[in-house]
Amino acid sequence: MKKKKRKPTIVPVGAHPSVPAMPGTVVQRTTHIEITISGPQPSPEEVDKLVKDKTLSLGDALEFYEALVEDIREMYGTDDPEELMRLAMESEDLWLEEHVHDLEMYHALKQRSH
Amino acid sequence: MNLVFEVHSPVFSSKDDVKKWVNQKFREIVAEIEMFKRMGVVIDYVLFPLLQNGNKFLWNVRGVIKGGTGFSLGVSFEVNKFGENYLVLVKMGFSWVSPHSKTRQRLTSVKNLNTEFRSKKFWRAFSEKEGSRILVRWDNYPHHPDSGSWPFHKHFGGQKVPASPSQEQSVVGFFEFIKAHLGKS
Repeated sequence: MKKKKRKPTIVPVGAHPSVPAMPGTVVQRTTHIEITISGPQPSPEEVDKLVKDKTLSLGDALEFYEALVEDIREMYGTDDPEELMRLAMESEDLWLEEHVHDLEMYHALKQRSH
Repeated sequence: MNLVFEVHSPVFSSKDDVKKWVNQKFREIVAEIEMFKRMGVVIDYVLFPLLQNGNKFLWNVRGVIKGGTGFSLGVSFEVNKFGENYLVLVKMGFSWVSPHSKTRQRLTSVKNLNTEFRSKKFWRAFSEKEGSRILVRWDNYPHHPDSGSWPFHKHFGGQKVPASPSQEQSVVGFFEFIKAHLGKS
């Protein structure tokens, strides 16, 4: 095990109210976290193979986003990333922030697949 | 190994150098995620194709974490031209999500996301309509100048939660945070 950076360990100040609905995992606010770099890192050759093996085809990627974007349209009434970003800035809804990138990916995939 | 996610690139004089740098960052992230897979924190992950749209390179990685939670890392490399030179601005968002219990249960038994991608209905893990919740989200969008770690900040689930200072400013940091919390389960 190789330690790269050591900081004070977790300082719990109480679980977030959203936590009880997630059994089995406790999320706590922290001020610091210990960064311990351990575990085998892949070689450049292994990374080449991982990229090849783990990258989805354009068709599979588009299928994933089409299903997700259908939900986004239903929830927010738009599939325009700029409109969603505007809504995200107004509401600070984390899903909106997350979905701005989803919509950008979706439109780029559609463009690429045509 | 990056302990801080770079917010921008060095200045480049050619588009080829920009592409090489983006490709290098992409490979570094894959190596970091794979390391956490080998440590047993990540069960498996899939890479979405690196896409170019106008002056942006867009990329996404999604995966399953031990216990059936999920993660999504979205990265946008925005290429800006200044005179004859180029600078890449990097925006990233990393969400740790808790899917609906049924989806979560199915995800705990995932062996290989690439082969089980369709049958597991993986998109459900990332849809609030399907009952998924964001537990923690980190991003470097520059909209919380008072967060103490600008532009990086994190949010704890739900809506309208104030950004709190983030000590985790890299893929390694995000997974170390998750690993620490999984260890407490």
